[in-house]
Amino acid sequence: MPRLLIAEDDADLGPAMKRALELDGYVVDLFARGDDVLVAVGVGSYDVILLDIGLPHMTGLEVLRALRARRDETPVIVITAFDRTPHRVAGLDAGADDYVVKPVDLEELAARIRSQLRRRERRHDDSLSVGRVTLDFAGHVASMDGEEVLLTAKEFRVLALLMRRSRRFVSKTDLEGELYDQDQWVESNTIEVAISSLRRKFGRDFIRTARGLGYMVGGLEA
Amino acid sequence: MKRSSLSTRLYRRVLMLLAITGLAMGAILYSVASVEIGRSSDAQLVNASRLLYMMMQDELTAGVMVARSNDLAGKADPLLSAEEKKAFRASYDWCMFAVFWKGQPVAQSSWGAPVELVPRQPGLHDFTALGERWRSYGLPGRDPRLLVVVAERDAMREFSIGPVVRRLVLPLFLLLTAAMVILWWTLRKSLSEVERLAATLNARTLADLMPLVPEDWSRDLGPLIVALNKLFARLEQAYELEQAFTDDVAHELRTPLAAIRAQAQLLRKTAPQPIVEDVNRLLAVVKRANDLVDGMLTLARLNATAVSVRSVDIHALVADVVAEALINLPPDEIEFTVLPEHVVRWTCDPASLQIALAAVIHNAVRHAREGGQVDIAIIRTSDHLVVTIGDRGPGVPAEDRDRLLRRFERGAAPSSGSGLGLSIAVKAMTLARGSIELLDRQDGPGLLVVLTLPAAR
Repeated sequence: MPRLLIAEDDADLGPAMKRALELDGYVVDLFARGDDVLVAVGVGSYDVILLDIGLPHMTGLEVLRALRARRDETPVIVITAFDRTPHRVAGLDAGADDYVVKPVDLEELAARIRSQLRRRERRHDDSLSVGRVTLDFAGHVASMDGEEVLLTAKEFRVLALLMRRSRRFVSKTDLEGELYDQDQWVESNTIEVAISSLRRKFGRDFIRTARGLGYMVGGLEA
Repeated sequence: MKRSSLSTRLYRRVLMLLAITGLAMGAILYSVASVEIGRSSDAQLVNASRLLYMMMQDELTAGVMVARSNDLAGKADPLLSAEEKKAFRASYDWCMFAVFWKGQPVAQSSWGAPVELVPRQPGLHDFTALGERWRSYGLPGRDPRLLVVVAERDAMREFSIGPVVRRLVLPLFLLLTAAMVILWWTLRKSLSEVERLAATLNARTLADLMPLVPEDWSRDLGPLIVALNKLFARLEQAYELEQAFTDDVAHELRTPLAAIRAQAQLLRKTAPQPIVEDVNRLLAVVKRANDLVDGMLTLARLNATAVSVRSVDIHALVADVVAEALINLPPDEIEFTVLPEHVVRWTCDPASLQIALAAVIHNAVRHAREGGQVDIAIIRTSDHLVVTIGDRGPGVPAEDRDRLLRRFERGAAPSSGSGLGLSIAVKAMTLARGSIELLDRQDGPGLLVVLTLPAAR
């Protein structure tokens, strides 16, 4: 059972997050002070740390730097109300694995925790996940919810590019370019054919499209 | 006051000073010259009188005057022969003369002023005769009863100053013109430093508050540079205070919202079905409050946003904003179309344009829910870039459009919007030196928002 540490000084928000995540089946320890977090991490081992920046006695960023300084590689998700780009950069530079801005949607937070747990499991393999879909580049295998899905070489390439650039549009020209060096010849409807086949296999909503922009994966359901 | 007037005024004043100096110099030179000419003319008069006296020496030694004084009534020898008079005239043709013995004229020239008017005293004298001013010199002989007087018209002396002045006119004019040109050039060159400073400051972005390096500027501008740097430091401080304040506001407002949201979501997990509906409504209100906080923070931060203009792919910018909107929407809810399909480059501030686009697209998504369609077009002309965002919502009546672009104004249709979206877009477009306009769609129902950016300077 994964163990989580929440560092949050707000007396209403902290306990609510703790209970919600406990309902999801995690073991959760809640701390309100930055220095307590360092002590606790030194004693026990956690799978993911959820860290507020505005902690008393020792700010979240200081905690994070101290953790990384002693070579603790526990995934850290920074949760903060500070949302300007310099803050994000500072958080990621200090060694955060993810950055979430308050008010956090608990379902989104749960998804991000799952993502960190998955990354932790396969820290050394060569794979990429978006939502329920995972691509294993070493084995050239795609899977959904752990079940293998058979793809043609073209479909794999198209999906790989979309997933590498998830949450952004990939133009049809870029997708054609991805296939070009393989076949030397890309028929005009090759991309449309591959996309509709991928949609049959992973669900219509997995790949989104906008006319004039191209295709995109990643979104609410991911 | 106009910016050029300082140099023009300075130029005018220095020119005036130059003219006054020139005139004063001229006047001094004129008076010195006329005194000198007067003195040399006087010296000539003296010489002329001496010449005349010398001519009379033979007759005087012969005792003409003594004989005359003994026999006043008798006919005596003339004091000056006709040849001697001619010789005098050959040397001093502009001078008249008269010789007096005991105050009575005994010889005189046949020309010039009448002898009665000639002063009968030794030394230099002025007198008037024949309607003209005359200058005379009386030379007493060895015998004090004899007085030789030579006179000339004053006009003869002034006559010699005219050509001098006339000869000076051209060189003086050239000198003055050259002075004007050199003066103007020097002035422009000195003031170009100020223009360079202005250009440097104009080229800066709003948030570029780096102090100026005093060594880069001439020493005359030193105090100005120091004052500017002090102003920059104060602005920087104010800017940082404002940033810190909005950060604090963000933290203080979002943390309780986060607590409410977390509690509500927790409740939704555990509560029975009828309550879940109420909790969902509560969560919608939380989202609205959060949108409002986001909007207020965006507006507040736009006041202190760094504007940096560069060449941007507008198509990619639109793609990013649409992707961001689409990610947070349920699948198939909105269909986006973007025209054209390729890169469109334009020089502008991407950050403010992105904020404006995000606000307008967010607005379009909210109002397009029934129609479910948002059409975006990027149009580039030589001097403008136009991005149009059209929805299939109910549109906005013409009389409400200006009102809608102001803060906290909502459309007639019931909506969950914060009322800040379009005012954020207005502010961001103003920052990007562009404009925003609400129109009716021409190809059916719906609102068309038109964002226009001019070509960068």
